[in-house]
Amino acid sequence: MNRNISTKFWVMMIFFLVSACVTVNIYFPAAEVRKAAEDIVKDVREQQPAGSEENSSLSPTSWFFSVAEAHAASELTVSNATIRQLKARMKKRFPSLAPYMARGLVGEGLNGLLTIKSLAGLGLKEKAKLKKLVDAENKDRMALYRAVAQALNIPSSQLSRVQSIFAQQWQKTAPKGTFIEIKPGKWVRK
Amino acid sequence: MTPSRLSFLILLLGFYVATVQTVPALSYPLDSLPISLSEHNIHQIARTLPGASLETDPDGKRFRMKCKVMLRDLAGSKDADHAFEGLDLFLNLDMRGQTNERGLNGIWKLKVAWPKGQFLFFPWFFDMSQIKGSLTANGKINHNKLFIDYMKIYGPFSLEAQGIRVPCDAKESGRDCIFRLLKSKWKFKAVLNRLYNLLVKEAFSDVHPFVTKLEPKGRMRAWGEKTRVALDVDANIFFKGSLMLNGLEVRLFYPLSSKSCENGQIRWRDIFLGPIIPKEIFKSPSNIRIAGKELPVTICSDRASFGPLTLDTGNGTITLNEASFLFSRGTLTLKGLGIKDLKIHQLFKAVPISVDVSGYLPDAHFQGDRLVFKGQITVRIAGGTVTIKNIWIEPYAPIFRWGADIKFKHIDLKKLTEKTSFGLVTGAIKGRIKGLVMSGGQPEQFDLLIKTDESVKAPKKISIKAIENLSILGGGGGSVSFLGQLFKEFSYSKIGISCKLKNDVFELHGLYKSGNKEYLVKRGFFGGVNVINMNPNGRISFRDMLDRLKRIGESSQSEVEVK
Repeated sequence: MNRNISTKFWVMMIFFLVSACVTVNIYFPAAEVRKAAEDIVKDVREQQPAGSEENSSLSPTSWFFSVAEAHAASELTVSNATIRQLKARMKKRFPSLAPYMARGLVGEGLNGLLTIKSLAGLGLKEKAKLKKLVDAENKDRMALYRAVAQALNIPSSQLSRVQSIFAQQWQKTAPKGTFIEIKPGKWVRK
Repeated sequence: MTPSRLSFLILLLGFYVATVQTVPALSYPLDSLPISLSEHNIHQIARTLPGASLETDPDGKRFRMKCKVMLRDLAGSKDADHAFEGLDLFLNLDMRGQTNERGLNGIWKLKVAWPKGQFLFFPWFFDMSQIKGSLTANGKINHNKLFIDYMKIYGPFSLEAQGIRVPCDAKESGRDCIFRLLKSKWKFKAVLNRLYNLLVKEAFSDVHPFVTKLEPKGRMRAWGEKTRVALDVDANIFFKGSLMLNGLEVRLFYPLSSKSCENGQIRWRDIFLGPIIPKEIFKSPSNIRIAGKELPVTICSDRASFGPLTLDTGNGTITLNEASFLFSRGTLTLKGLGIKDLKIHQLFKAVPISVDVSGYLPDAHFQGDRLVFKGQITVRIAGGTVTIKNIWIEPYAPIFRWGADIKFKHIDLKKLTEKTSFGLVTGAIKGRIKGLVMSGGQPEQFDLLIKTDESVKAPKKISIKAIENLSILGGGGGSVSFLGQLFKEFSYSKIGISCKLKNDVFELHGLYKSGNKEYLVKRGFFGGVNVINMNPNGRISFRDMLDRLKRIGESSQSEVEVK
């Protein structure tokens, strides 16, 4: 009987020791992601005078053949060639998206992606145009989140946290009238 | 089949054949047809439809219905991606038959025209007033099964079909049903330009702007055979208005059995790559051509394979044994990609020295989003060799990326610098670029190491201009002191530079250290020149580095020691 109790005791001890050994701590650089989100979203949403942004990216050939035409992007906490180019595309697209957002047709989700809330009042041609815009924007946003995560050595399993942090910034800077997802499935108009 | 189901079937047939797709969930804001189809029988339809007439025998089992009606402003949607609205349909139906306990039997004739309307089948949008057309069809109904004996659609394309049974059986899978329809006797013809504008240009120009620059002119035919679908294209392809592909003939077959493959080929008379190759970058784009006149193509139900193919640049060749595309995954596999004596300096305007490229990449396959190449490419430049390994590309990424690991040795700096504006340097270097990542043509990440290659015996001299440029990169002002200006060149002992790029920050270091000084270029024992790295912590932002590259060639104060 005593031997049986002793065996159970040691089994329990081993179980606790093993549990302690497999504890995994994943560091998530929330502050860095937040800073990156603030900078990137601000840059995308702040419209500068025409022409200023066009010159801010390097053409594929300019790096090798015409450095003199190159112009540096703004210095960010997190930046690289992919992020700069994605940002430039999103900035160019934003003036087309903004009116639809202000009309409450497109909402900013908690996952950092755009959602079409309504297509009311749009003809089929405009519906197709809006869907293409939203699809292209979401594709670029996902690529942006992956690039930011990669730059900060964040594992892909934590990508949703990056998205959530960016979502806050997208929502904060969205045009007035945009639908904002404040809780999963619950939307309010800004 | 009950009359109400029959009536629904007739109208559904009209939509089905007019759009060549099923519209399972229709909403009916039909001003001219104020009925709910699912609740009414054929008598009610005949009474309600303007211009419809119905004759029946006394027991109500034999009937003849004639219907000539204009349906205006039809709208419906399956979901946000599939909808139509503002659709006008001219419908002329003549149907006769009988009903009994085994169902409905009869014959029918139908003519449909669509003068206007809009269709969304995302990403395609069709304005029907721009693609006016009509459909004529006749057939029979045997025990509730609908057969199309003959059908013809005129419009932006023509489609003729015979002996088709629709819709699918409940037991059939969607794929089986489509394959059964494709095995029927049908023939599709189109003017290529109209079809391209309709299916490609309109839908994809936003995402892929280059499609607007392409213009195919010619004809396309496709038809169903018992075991396969055949495709036949005769065309000339223009790019930005210039002829790119002359006398293109495509003969391809798609097998309707999952176990078989079909051989086809793509032939051409001439290919001119000049129109698609930027003139500002290439010396003689018109000299670059595809050698041979035929590309064998094998299509199986799950993949297509092309090859072999040889690209003759006039200054070296690029060959590919086989490229395979897997339909289900959208992935590409390449086999036997070879580069032989490709003389880059004779191709590119901006390459001032001799650069010969050769290599063999036996296999390339997808790992995640990356197409990873096995093998290596060797570049002969400035008396030395550059070896490029671990090459990968991300062809489907929103921003095109590629990467590689590079090693170089015996690079003669005199040959490398004498024809550039950097300034003359003699001696030889070796080194490596580890983990190079290029994104959209811009460097995203690398780890570069350059040092003097002692195995090459050559004088080690560096000109004032090169010193000034190196000192700019090293964070100095970029000009040599008055004493230094008295000399045209200086001797040096070693060059040693490491430069890393990550997150838009360059980390530049000299490999040789003395006290708290870090040297990019170190002088010899009996004098010469030192170029000192003046970057705090060696870190330079992307913006600063580009500014420095711009300033190269200019001069101001420097951090150069001359003894």
